[in-house]
Amino acid sequence: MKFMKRLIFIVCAIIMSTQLISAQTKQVSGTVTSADDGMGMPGVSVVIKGTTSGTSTDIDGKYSIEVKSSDILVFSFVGMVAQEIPVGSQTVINVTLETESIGMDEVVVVGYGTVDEKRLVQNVAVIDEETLENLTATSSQELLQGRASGVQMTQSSGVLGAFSVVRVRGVGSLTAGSSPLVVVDGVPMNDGADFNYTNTQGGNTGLNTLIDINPNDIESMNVLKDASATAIYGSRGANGVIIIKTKSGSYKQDATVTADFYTQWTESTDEIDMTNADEYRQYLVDIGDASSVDELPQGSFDWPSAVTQTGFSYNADVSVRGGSERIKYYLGATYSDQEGFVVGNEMQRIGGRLNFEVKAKEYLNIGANLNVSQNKIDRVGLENSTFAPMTSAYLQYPWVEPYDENGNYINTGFIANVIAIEDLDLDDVVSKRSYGNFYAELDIIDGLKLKTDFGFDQLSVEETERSYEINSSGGYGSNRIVEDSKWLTTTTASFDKLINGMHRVTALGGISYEESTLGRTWVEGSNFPLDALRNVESAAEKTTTSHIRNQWSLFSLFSRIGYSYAGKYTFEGSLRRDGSSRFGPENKYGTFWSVAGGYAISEEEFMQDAIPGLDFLKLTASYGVSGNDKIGYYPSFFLYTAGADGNYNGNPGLVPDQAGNEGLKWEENKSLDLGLRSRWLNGRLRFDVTYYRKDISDLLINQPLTYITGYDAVAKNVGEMQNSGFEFDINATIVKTPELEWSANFNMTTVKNEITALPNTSTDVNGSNFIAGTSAQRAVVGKSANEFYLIRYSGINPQTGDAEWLTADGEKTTDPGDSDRVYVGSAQPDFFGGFSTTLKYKGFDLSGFFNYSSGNKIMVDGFRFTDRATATFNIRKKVLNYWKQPGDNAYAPSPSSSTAGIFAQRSDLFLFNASYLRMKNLTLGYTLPESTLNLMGGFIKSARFYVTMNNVFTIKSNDLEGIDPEVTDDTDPLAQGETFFTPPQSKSYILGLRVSF
Amino acid sequence: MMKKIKYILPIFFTMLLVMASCDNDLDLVPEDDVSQDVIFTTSQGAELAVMGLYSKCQDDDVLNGTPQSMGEWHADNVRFVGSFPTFLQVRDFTILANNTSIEEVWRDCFEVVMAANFVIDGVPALDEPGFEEADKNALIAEARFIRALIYFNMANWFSAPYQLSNGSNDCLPIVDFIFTGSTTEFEIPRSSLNDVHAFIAADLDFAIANLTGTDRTLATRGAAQALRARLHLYRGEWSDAATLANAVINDTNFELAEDYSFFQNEGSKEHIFTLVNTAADGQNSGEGFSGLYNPSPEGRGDAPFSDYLINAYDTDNDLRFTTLTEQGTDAQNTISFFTTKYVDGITNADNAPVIRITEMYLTRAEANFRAGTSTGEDPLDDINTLRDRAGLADLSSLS
Repeated sequence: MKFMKRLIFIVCAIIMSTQLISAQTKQVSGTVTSADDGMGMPGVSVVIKGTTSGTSTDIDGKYSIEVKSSDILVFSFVGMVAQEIPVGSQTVINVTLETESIGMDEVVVVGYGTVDEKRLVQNVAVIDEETLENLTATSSQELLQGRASGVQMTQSSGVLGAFSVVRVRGVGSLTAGSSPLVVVDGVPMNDGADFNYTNTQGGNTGLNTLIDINPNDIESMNVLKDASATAIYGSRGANGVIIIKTKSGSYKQDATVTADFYTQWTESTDEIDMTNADEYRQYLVDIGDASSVDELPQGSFDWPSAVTQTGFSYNADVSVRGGSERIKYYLGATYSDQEGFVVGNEMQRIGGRLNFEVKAKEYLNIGANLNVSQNKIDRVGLENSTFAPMTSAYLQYPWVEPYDENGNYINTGFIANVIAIEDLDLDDVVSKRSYGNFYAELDIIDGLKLKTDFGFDQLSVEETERSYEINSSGGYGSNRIVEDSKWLTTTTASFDKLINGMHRVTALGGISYEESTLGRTWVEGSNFPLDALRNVESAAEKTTTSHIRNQWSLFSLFSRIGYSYAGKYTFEGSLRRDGSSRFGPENKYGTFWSVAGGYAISEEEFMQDAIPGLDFLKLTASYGVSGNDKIGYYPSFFLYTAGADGNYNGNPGLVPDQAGNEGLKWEENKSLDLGLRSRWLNGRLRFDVTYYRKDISDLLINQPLTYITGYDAVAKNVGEMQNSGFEFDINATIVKTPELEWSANFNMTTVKNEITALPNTSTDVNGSNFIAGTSAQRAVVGKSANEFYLIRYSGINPQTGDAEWLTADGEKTTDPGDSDRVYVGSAQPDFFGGFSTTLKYKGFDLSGFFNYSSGNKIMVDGFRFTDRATATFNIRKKVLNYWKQPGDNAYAPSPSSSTAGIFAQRSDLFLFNASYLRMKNLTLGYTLPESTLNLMGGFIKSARFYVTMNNVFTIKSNDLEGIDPEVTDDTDPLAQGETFFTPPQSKSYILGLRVSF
Repeated sequence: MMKKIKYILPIFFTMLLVMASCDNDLDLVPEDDVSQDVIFTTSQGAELAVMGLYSKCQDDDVLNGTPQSMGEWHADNVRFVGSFPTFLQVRDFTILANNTSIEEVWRDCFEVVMAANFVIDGVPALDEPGFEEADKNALIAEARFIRALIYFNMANWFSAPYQLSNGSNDCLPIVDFIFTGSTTEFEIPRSSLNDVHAFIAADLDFAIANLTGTDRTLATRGAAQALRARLHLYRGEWSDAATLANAVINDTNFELAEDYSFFQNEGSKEHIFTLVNTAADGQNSGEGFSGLYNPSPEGRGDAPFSDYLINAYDTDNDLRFTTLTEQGTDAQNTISFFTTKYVDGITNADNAPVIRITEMYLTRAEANFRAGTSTGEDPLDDINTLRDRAGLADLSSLS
């Protein structure tokens, strides 16, 4: 009741507020001057906060306004810092406005430290707290998509916890790891690049290995792109580095509790149009496969609809941040329960984070960043698996029903009863992860700090599968536990001093040791006596009982020196030496380095006011070398193996297994970066452009050996490729008044990936070396790493009804062969990026975010099955448009054509332009005005209601009906842009509320 | 300030020391595979590497039936009625350069050769108390026997016979050194058949001198002698062939079996060397003895008897026919005759007989007959001994 009373009071108060203002007023006047020249400023807006009433200054900067004592006056002018002044008892209020800073004094997190933006010569894409604040995401990688130039993120599918492929400035490797290093609060995270944490279930994508990072804990995400930024990460920097900083409190800050709740409805964006049972039966009669509809099975079931649903999810995040004189803290907790749009797909996350720092002594800070979380995913298969709901739903004959006449599930054979599977079978992944670090920071002398930290990342992934009698005869069970544990210690000494007001000298030196152990225990069994017996213990046959363990270690010394003169010239150099257990004995240590320079040309005398509107202009250049150490655990050894390979007649034995290469080492990336950064119109317009070139050498390639050596091949550092392109970033604040703010961001990246050397690999018809990544694509010298190599489909001959293809020479043929394959496009885009716009009016905020990709192709392998004119599986409705008589412009050939059986063979018929523009996100928010909050007693500091729609629409090729243009069924860099049937990105609607108090 | 440094510096330097000592941890070794450097540092490692040689021989492309069957197709003893295009090329004498089955035989056999070379190279330097010269030589002898066996087989498959040009024709590259990373040593031409035979002979002579075991599922002195006898016979060295064959026949470790039930009985003294396969560990591709020679549906039904072979038997009386054949469905769905030497088409657990004592009787008989000698036994008697076992009437003379 008390609450109701208060509510009524609030509502009345809002309605009456205007009258109240005019009730007890007085006159206030004054002059507004500029801090720059002390002159009166005309046209400054003077508004009573929380209202629309106000005035503006006259030609001399004078104003006069009627107010009441409790009002707050807001003085604002374009390009100046707005001021808020409570009226109180004053009758004269004079104000001096400062020029608004242009956002150049922000501190940017870089490797092992921070640097203020003005002196920044490294190329770092910053996704800051302001950008992240109003985003809802389930994974940290999602936050990267389209937000930063140079970063390409491909979500492999729309299932919960799906793997995402992240590339910084194009693909960095062909056969080794190609994902960027992710560093959270100084801890380089285990990412499963050397070993799959989860089994693949159709396709070659496991689950997201960084799902345990809660996006709500993230304060900023910085992507280190050029060598000057990544060389300090040495043998792990070549694929780029993503530095995540989690939220922290501040000293002497009252505690703020923030609670964010949202609910979400998720549905499929797109489905393939398949024939229903009647259409399919009629088709079989029409093409002469059956003499009448009656002789065919009579059932009917809509499988695609039955495997999709509207998923309902909710998410709660609560955090407290603040600090006292000597302690600052951030405490965050999250709980989320999500349901995907594919039946049987669920995810539950529970986690907590504690970041704190204590000023233990005047010269000593100690602290910790700790995260504990558990993530449980009820998986569904996808891509090329008959246990995958969205795959089998498309392939299943539409007359097959999941139940018998008594309503019991039946086994539908090879194309499995995916409804029974999702209803009955167990397919769970539970990952438990704790990671973080403890640190101590010492102020030794002015400007010199010593920091030592102990970090860890302990991950346990348990995957349990159990298929019951009806779905797998005899039953099947599997339990696979992967534990990847690492610890590291880092000690750095850093020095930062401004000498004589002109010379800024910074220096960093560090030493680090890191060690990681991965264990995998796996048991599998079949022939279970009863469905009720869940675990492999009860299986009559234990088909797998295995345990393996791998380790790696890394020892590093690193340093960085910077010098900046008068804010105009900045030089920076970094050096790192890495010793790794992965490298061969001849190359145990690698040296990585970079040099960079920046010239803030706008700071020169002659540039002052030379270009109208220009605030700041800086040219940067950097060059350096970083490496990629994801070459496996023990690739350099000559190895013998045991087990069935070595056993003979019941006796254990050992046999040679791997040809060693004592000189084996990291892959190397020499990177050039030329940048221009500018700020215009008092910081309201930012325009950056960068040219980059990465020359990647020592790529790990399996070199074929003459068989008389006893081996097939040996891994050698021999491949070479180059990535180059431009990055553009534009940020603009188009309108900025106290009431209305409209801003827009745009970024674009071009990437040209070219393989330059693949010695001793196979050669194609042009004599170019290549590696075949899949049956449809190759990495080929002179072209990209993902060139589709296919026969070209020409069309249905309207006269004959035959499907026709082109020979290599371009002649039409009805019987193409492997030798007719040609290069028909790349899976890599020419350019990609994103743009967003935000409109803020009073308490409302409206933002839209788009991402796009252009020039890439995708291969939809599943159509090879659904478009078969012979009735092996269900068919796409499109196939009903087959040739019937001369003159027909048909999609499929005549059923009697000799090409009917090969029509759906692998060809560029199923290769599609995957350029797209997607409205990724549309959000409308409303923040309650302070006056309302005040009326509620001031207990609530802020409250925001929001409605969000994700994946609002996607503009793509018409041929991609039912297919998401953003796909990959493989994490392998040599197998991108292919899909069987990928569950598309989901469309979701979110209703949320965030309150702080 | 100096006071502070007094505390801080020791911490820092301690830290540095801890770091420096971590350096050793960069030398991590795999736990589920063994580095080759480690294997030949203990006698146990060397013994396991030798056992691994037999395991390598279990590949279908080595001793378990694929290349052996190719010879049968060429000889028209059995037909190939299956669908493998590469086998059809072999059957029809139209082998192309890109025939992957041939490539795999070459590759897999040389894998065994190199595995043997690692033993031969690694064991001599092994220093372990109680592991004497004789023990080392016994292990090396096993490896050299295996290497000789593989080279002998490959010489038969990859070069023309001795009789064509008295062994001066090209045969195989002789690889008697190990691979350490560089491939330049491997840029060698094929050696002549005579050189390869000499290489095999040297291996076998060493094996004969140093082998000690009597397990017929492993290399024995008798097995080395038997293979040496075969080499002499192939080279027309009749007297040596007869002498060695006679020696093996007189070895009490071997004895002519009374009937034909010995094929899957590795305990039978009929075997001089038989390769044991089990369901868990043995033939690996379905293209070995068990897969090819069993009628479908258990096997592939790919390799039934040819009419030539059937016609060569006295099908009513010859126990080799009446007790060692069955009729079954072949790969073309017709009923054909198949051998019953390999009966397990489901788990492919049939042993692969490599050398049997019967061969020594035939070798002694042929060598004596051609040389006009009767070392150990008169050739006619040897032949009649075998005919007797087959249920066939004695011959009165040889021609």
